[in-house]
Amino acid sequence: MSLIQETDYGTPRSKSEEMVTLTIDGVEVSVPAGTSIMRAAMEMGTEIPKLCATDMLDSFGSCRLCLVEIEGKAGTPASCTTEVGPGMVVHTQTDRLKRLRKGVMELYISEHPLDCLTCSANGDCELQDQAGAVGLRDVRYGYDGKKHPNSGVDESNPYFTYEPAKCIVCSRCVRACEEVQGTFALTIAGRGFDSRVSASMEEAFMDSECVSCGACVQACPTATLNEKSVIDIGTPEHSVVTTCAYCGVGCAFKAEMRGEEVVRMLPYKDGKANRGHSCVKGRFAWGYASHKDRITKPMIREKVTDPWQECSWEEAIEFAANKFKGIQEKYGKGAVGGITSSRCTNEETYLVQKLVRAAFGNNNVDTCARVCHSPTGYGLKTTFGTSAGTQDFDSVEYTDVIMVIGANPTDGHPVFGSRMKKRLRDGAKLIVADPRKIDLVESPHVKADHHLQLTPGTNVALLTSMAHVVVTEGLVNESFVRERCDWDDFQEWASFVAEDRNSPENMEQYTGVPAETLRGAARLYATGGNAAIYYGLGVTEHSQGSTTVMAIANLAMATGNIGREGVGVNPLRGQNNVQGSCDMGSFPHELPGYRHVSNDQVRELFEELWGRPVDNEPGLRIPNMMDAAVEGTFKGLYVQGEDILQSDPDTKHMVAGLSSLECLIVQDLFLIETANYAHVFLPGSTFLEKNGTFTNAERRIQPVRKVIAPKNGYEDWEITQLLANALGYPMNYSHPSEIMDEIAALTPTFEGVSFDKLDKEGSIQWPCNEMAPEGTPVMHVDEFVRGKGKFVITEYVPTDEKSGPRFPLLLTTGRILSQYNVGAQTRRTANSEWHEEDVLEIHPHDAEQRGIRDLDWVKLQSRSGGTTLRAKISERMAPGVVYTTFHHPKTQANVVTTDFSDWATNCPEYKVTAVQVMPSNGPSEWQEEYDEFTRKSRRIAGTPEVIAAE
Amino acid sequence: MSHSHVDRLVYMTNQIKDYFKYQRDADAAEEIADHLRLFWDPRMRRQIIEHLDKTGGEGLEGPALKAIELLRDEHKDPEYLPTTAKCDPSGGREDAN
Repeated sequence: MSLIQETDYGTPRSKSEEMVTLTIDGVEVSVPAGTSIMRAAMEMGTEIPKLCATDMLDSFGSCRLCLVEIEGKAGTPASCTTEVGPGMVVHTQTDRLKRLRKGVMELYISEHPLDCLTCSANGDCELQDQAGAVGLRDVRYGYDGKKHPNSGVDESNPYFTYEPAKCIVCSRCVRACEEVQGTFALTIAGRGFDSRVSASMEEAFMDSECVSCGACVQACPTATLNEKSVIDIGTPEHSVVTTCAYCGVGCAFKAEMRGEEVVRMLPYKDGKANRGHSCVKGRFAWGYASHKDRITKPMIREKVTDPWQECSWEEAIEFAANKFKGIQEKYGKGAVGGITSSRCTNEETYLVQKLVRAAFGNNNVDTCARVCHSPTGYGLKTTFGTSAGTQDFDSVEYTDVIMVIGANPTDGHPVFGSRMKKRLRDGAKLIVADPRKIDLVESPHVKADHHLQLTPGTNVALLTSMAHVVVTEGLVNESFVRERCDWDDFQEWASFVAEDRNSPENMEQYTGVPAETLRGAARLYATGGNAAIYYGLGVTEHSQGSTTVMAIANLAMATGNIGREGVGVNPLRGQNNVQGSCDMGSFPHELPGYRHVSNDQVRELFEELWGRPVDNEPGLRIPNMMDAAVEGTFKGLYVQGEDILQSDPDTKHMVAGLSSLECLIVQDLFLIETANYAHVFLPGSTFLEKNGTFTNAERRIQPVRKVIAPKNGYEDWEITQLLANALGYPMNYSHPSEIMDEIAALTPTFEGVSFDKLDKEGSIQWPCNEMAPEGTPVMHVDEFVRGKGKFVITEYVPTDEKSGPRFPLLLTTGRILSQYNVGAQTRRTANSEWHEEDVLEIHPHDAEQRGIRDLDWVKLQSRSGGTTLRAKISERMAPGVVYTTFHHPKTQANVVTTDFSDWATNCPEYKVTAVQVMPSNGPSEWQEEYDEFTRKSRRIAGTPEVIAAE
Repeated sequence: MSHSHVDRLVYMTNQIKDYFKYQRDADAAEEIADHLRLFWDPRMRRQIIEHLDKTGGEGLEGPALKAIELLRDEHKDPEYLPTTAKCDPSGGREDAN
């Protein structure tokens, strides 16, 4: 293994289909029109010296190192800013060019400290490389540059340093912040020798708008911006391409290593989801893998009030298996179940559902998608025929109108959020439907054309009234609908949405969105060119979540925005492998590939290969499991990589359910909240310690590659296998590739997928089979998976969770950029410096009425329960709406949320809870009691140290 | 919302009814019953049928009540039993083959 060095072509690829032929250094070369001479040269293998150019950024032409001579043209133009022309004859190396380049380099070096041997970028410095490339041997101006003394080092960011003395003012960092990330946090301050990179108004990086995505550090050609891990450890010596374990974007990274130590994670330019970009989580927040809280030894206990007993793997597995066998003997086969993890690999998820179906003998398997995107599954399967987004991420580059509803991509899916912002800066229009004024509504060089600031819980009213405008104003794409959709269903739907009661004027009373604003948005969506809808949990986590997904599908079909680049319906998946865990049969009613358990032919396939009967009845969903546990018919649960106590709604009901279990097995990295009620703890492995695949929000299957040995001794799939064998169901896989082979053999949409193919292609978007051997970037191109697209009537049914005199405000919950889900990973990194605790965002008017000041402790009370946290006064909120995150167990935001849920899937209604907010003195009695319980529950016999809750 | 288990099942059934009753080309009761067959664990279906038997379907509204009556009639039919497994009274299962 060696360090993967990606070719830097100097300037971005041209998308032109017209080819231009020219001659460079006597060699004829053909490239797309619009290509720079620098890139054309590099494509034929000639590297023109450069400093300010890199193919992640538009050309800039400032360093004057990449000069070339062009026959018939005066001067020595910069090859990065000069486009190729037909018949052009270019020389990249002449005496004149050599002299000029050497002179330029002399000036750079005269201003650069020559501490190369002790510099953290020694061996990884483009300035050093280019000095060698131009043959610099002497600097006539001396080496005592004016910038060197006393310029200091900004170490405020936890992950990287800024050392101005080493800056060559190439502006690559500034341009990366603008062009790649879209934050515009950096600029060049000062003039002449005083020029220096400035974060915001010459502030420390940590005090600036910088979001710590790492694009500037990656772009820096010297050690001016450098990872602290590189400064501490040294430069890496080998690297492995793998996939990030945060969020559904699925960024590809090079894990750069020195031996078994991770030096840094660098975004991989060939990664088709991220195209070389990253966010603060994937780029920097991987230190949890070696955090002191990590549990690496198995543990068991008879009662949850007992301290944990460390034991061998054999003891733990035998203990767990005996408990489950005993429960099934006493209460029946259906008394146990399992929960698969959207953080684990496809192979691990597949194995857990197989364990439940083949070894437990029932279908009581569910996954965290229950509480996030299960309505996507129901809604898109009903309307289009399959449960998946329709596009790849590249599609956004061809979109003219972006509609974002119930998603906050700049926080939740930041790398795709940046790609979206780039397209908006290039001219696409934007509609945002969200109760909050999220960053996309207005941020540097991005402004929504329409912000539909709707009342939480009224998505269906909003979308149906948009459809009303489309139908009644004659904006339907009739030829598309007639050709591609069920015409009778369409007519039924059209007459429904056209009713006056569904007009924007009538729906305004529910949505709070002015009718004229809504009409403008609907017209833009229907007539603005390629229109794409991106949505998140603000759509699904409602009592009408599935109906909302279908309303989105209706709108896309009615306007013909399906089946080609630039359009589509795109669920932004929350966790890294939500799509995959759903694909792998994690729902209690479906086998892998979204096939219902009642389908005899499908079941027979699995029964034959698995050697066990598969139940033909659906099993319990997570909330139903907890209901059944409280009721006494469900007694044993195996949870892999999910903290259902912290993430699921109505915490007190969840506690009641978990407390009722006779055996709870938790397999995780840390003693998470759910583990407080566990009897067996099986230590899990991180994404750095395992092989497998994740599937991102664009159905892209990507490899996860082991770079260090599992600290706990086993990859997670191996642990499930141990449990299966102990239960008497043999599993004998020796590598996850064998599990993928089994998945491919049983699942038509994965038929052509294998580890070998993934190694060759880098990634594959399913369906991948005989019909689509290279995968499927855009779905439903010629026809919908179900044949004709189905229009569904979407009657608005208000939620039963209503505000009133006792609970006058509506709470909606979500997440922020630096933390991930329940925070188990990110809280154990320096990301907490950005978000130490959950806070309650409240509009100034609501705060004023209650006598609440910024950062005051407040009590947040609903009909379900109450908690306390600090208030943050924010005009991002509409009056009457408050917002918080659920990243910190000390807050337990889900104590407040209710057990109302989506009618079709039981996905919880996290986004609407009626609450009251009042000043408070500090943590509630419940929180203090829970803290105490947690402390006791985490005791480990023979270990003095108590694992911290935070 | 009530936390009584049966109350919750009744509530969920009525929610499902609130979707299907607006689908104009469908028999709402049959669609609701089908949804429960597809997505509800048999013990949940059994419990709501018991509720129907015990109370006449208290709380179930219109087509929701009719849907549970359809399910009850199926459960009385000896041919109904699933092909690979059958429900046992304890809430567990035993293999049929």
